[in-house]
Amino acid sequence: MAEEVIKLGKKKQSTLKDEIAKLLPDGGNLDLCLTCGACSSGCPATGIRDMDPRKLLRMASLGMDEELERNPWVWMCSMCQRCIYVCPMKIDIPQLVYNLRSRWPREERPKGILGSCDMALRHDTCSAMGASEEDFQFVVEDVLAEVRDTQPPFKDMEAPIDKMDADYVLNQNSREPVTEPDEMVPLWKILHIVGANWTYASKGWAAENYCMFLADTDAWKHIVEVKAKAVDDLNAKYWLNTE
Amino acid sequence: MSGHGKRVLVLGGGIAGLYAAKVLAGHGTAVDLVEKSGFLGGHGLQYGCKAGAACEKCGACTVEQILADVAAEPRITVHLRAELAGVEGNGRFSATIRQRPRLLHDDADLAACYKKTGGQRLVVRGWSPNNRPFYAVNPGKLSEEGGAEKVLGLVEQACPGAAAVDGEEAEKTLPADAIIVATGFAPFDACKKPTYGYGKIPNVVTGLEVERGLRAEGRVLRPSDGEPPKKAAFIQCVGSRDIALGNPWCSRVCCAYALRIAQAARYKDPELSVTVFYMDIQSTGKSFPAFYEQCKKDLRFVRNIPVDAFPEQGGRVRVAWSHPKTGARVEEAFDLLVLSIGITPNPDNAGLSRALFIPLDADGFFAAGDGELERAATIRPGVFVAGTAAGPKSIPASMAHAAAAAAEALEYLKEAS
Repeated sequence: MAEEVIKLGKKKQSTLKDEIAKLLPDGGNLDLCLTCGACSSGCPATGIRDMDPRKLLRMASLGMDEELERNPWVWMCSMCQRCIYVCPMKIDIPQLVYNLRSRWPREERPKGILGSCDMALRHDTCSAMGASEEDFQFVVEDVLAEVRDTQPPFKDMEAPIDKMDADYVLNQNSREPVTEPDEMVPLWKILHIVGANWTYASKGWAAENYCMFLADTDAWKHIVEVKAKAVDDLNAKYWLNTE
Repeated sequence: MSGHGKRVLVLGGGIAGLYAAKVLAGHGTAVDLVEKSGFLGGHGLQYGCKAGAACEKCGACTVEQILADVAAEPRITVHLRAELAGVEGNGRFSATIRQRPRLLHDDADLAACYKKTGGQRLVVRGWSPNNRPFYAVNPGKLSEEGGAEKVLGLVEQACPGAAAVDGEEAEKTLPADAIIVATGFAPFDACKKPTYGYGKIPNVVTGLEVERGLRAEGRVLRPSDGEPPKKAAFIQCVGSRDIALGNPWCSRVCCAYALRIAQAARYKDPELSVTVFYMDIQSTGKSFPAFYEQCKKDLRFVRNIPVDAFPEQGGRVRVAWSHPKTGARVEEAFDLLVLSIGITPNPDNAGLSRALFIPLDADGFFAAGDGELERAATIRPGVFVAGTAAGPKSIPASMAHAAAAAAEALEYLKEAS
């Protein structure tokens, strides 16, 4: 037996892992990893910039916060959550990625995502492409009129905006009204054929939420609140967001 | 230890039930062996010999031998197509057995009918000629709604006089001084891991299917064209060590069977290349660590579990994984992809647990009375559990547990008398 007590290195005050454990039910299961690599096999970003989900999780589990700080791979992740879907231990790797993103100074996060979040914050429409209420209304009415004129089975089809008491409030990704307006039509047709009672909302109509991808929690929350309020204000039963 | 003049009910005719019955009979005890299906032998009898130049001690042939011993043992009464319906009494039990209608047939007649109607699967063949009858009217079809009448009608049409049903489904009562539950396991259903495409991609198969093929053909063959693969891969831990599925346990047998099958196939065809995708190899058991060392030389081990399989032309299966060292995405096609499926609780366990008043553990296997120690006694005096009914086990481990169950039952009978 040793004469003196062997002292191990002092545990860091709070590691990334502890932070997540406090946040998630079951601590996000971060300690349960079997290192099987299923996450990395199923991940579309595996191997980019010398990183993959298994390696990321191992490093976090070992408390290598400094090495992970500002690792660019976290921005290669598409947040598709496939890693947690295929993980036999249900480990929440996407939450780990989110927390790593949130440690970047906001202005140094990737320009595209940052710009899209900031644009969405500037309008009540929440459109990352900056489309206004008027723009949206004009495009929807224009496309609808053309379909009703040229496609007899859909001459009575509707695409209402701000209809009160509908069953569903449908959000719409900005990309369609701004760049591919005809792409809105197939879903309208389905809703028309099944007889759904639905509407768009002029406020918060944009489905996308880049502030979530930016890991700007307050802005993410704000965007969700604007959209949810629009649903409540129209007294609708359900909120349909396809993103 | 003597069980003379006593009678024990053994539920399940797989290796654990067979071996417990054999040990009990050897001590002079009368045994009623109740088996749900039409054949004795259980899963163990479906496995193929995995010997290369030498025996690899997988235990498959032992099942055959024990089956022959049981068939020749006058103290053992076998009840096929029978299930436990309920139990009364304490210490001295009275068990109600639900007996499906007996099928009257001559094995030679059914053998001829089996050949004639092969594709319709009206008649199935057992796994061992030691198991009489060797042929039976397909129990799967008989248990379908209105099945018996329909199937027997079709058999009569195709092969007049080959088989007839005797009476109705009936209940019978068996006295028992002790009960051994040896109702086995259910192989993991690979469809529950949908990204592997099992059931959709023809050359994605389970370890159990490869075992059956090895037993029937003596080789590992691809389902799509019946040809031996040149390049095969195994994915380990499919359905085991998976809390997302509610299966946190290691199945204990898959590492051994996968590596033994791989080596047996390579012995027949030295050109065959085998890749094993794994998280860690459970090289437990006598002689297995040495065997594993040899496997490391002969097989390619990749420490990464793939999650996707894609069909390719020529029946090949493309698999993607992350390189264990560099992390880079790797894709490669194989002629055959084997999913090393594990051991899960028999779906009958819940019903049996209620009928017998013995609890299951958190995973759904039968709990031993002493908790973790894997003894055979349950919390109910006179009721014992043996083999995979109590949790994952290999053939030798099932036999050891069955011998323990028989010994504990004999000890109990001695004290009870």
